[in-house]
Amino acid sequence: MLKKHSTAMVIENTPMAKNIYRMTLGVEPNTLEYYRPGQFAHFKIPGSGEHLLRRPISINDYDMEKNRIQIAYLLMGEGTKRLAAAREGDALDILFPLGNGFKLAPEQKNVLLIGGGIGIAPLLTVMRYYPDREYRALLGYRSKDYIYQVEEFQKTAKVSVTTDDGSFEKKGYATDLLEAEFEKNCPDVMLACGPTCFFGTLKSIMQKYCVPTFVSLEQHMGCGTGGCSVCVCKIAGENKRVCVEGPVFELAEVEI
Amino acid sequence: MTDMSVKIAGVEFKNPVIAASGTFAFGEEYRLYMDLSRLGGIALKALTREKRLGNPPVRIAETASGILNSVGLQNPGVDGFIRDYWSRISKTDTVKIANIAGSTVDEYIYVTQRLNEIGLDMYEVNVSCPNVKEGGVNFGTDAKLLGDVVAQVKKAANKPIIVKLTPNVTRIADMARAAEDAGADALSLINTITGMAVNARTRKPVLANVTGGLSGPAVKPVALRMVWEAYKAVKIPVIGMGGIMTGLDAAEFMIAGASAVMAGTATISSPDALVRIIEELEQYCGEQNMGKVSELTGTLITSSPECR
Repeated sequence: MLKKHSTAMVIENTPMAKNIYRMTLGVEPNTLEYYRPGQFAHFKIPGSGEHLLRRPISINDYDMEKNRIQIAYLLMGEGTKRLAAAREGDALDILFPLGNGFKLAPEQKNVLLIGGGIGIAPLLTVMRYYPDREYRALLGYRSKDYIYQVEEFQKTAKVSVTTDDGSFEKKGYATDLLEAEFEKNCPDVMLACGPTCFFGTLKSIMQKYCVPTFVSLEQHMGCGTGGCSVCVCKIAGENKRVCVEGPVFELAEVEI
Repeated sequence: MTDMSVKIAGVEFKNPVIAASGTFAFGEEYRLYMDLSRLGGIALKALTREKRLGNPPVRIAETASGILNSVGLQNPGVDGFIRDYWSRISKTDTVKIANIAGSTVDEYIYVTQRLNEIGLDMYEVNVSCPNVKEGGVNFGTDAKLLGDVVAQVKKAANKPIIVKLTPNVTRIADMARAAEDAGADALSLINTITGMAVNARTRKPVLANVTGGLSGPAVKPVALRMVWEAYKAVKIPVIGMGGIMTGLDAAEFMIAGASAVMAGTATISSPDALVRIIEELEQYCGEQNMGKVSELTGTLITSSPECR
């Protein structure tokens, strides 16, 4: 049986953009064997017992051989602030790997990734996990100060960047680039993770070009294991749990 | 070695630690994290007559040493449970308790009668859900309504019934007595305390339902006090809960009068917490040289000798 509740050792924990941190962790042997891109880890907040809820954070990169995972996280409140204070050698209590993750069919060769803000982070693992595909990545950031990992994406993908305020590259949302990108070359599949303001455009593009589209959803989460039923999203008329039935859902079924 | 078994309303539990309803789904999810037969029992997620979608998200908020939730009884309905879920847990060697909820007395009776057809060990009558508009906590805050629903479920049930009480009342002892008088075989308390969380920046409530139920260590002192008051008010066994995170917490509830305990927020915080709580309680009993864990119940020492 896979031991999902385990201890991870902090190897590095460092800021990489405004309010965004990157943490590398050593995980117990074999835990990565069952990992899929788009899955997440559920972090217990170190320190006092005041913070009872774990924080779900998607995996941003991994190294199968060294048994390492990397997360990228946005400083939101007291909990993530405490995570940011973790130092090399600290032991963190995690549940990993959780959720369903992104899955590419063998014939889906031409892949379009679209991410916004901290939602860009999990998309990197798709390219790591499925290296034998052609990728384009549309990455939207708030402004110049919030940009991270564009070079990482450029190693494998043809990358286009937007900023909300136009302080770097094109002004606007990443979704503004979709129509032109689809006209140029229609992908076999689209994978998305970003703010809810993306969803309207994503849905209309998906319908217009009939391209299977999968989105990673976010919801305030409790246990992370399917027991408490708090992290639900409306999927085809049902309340599905983001932690076990998601976080990745087929956009056609997502009710916004 | 302490004998960890307890008996409640004729039902034998291998230890006094039970998964609290609504925090453990129908059990299956937790096979990944523990051997379910280690548990004293499992109180399954609340069941209503029809399937319910529950409240819209956001359904959870973190507060200081506490959690607010407003799930609102999402469940597949009793028929859906029997068809799709029961067989996955029915053979697990632990006490299985169904949690029965409804908007009307008729609904409670229907759910009870359907459950009579399968092999559960006990029923927990949920008259204390703070997160639904009709029924739920309304039954638990009015002694007359409470007595009525308990009497009707008792009449319909072919298994012992536990009545789960709400702390959102002025005098818990009155509710405990009303449930006992109506035929309850045991009580469980406390359900969550109604509360709310506000985001000062957006000036919006954190929960979509505005209010929710508070649980976790933040409520433990209130829960201990109410368990103690209920214990003194009735002769039937009391199952204590409210912020139990450790074996020592469990021991405290038993000392205050509980025959067994339930823990839920502990599971939400860490999926295998119940097993740790059982081990810690066992260790405590060993340190106290206790023959039976059941000897702990109601051993609160309230009169201390004079200081000399």
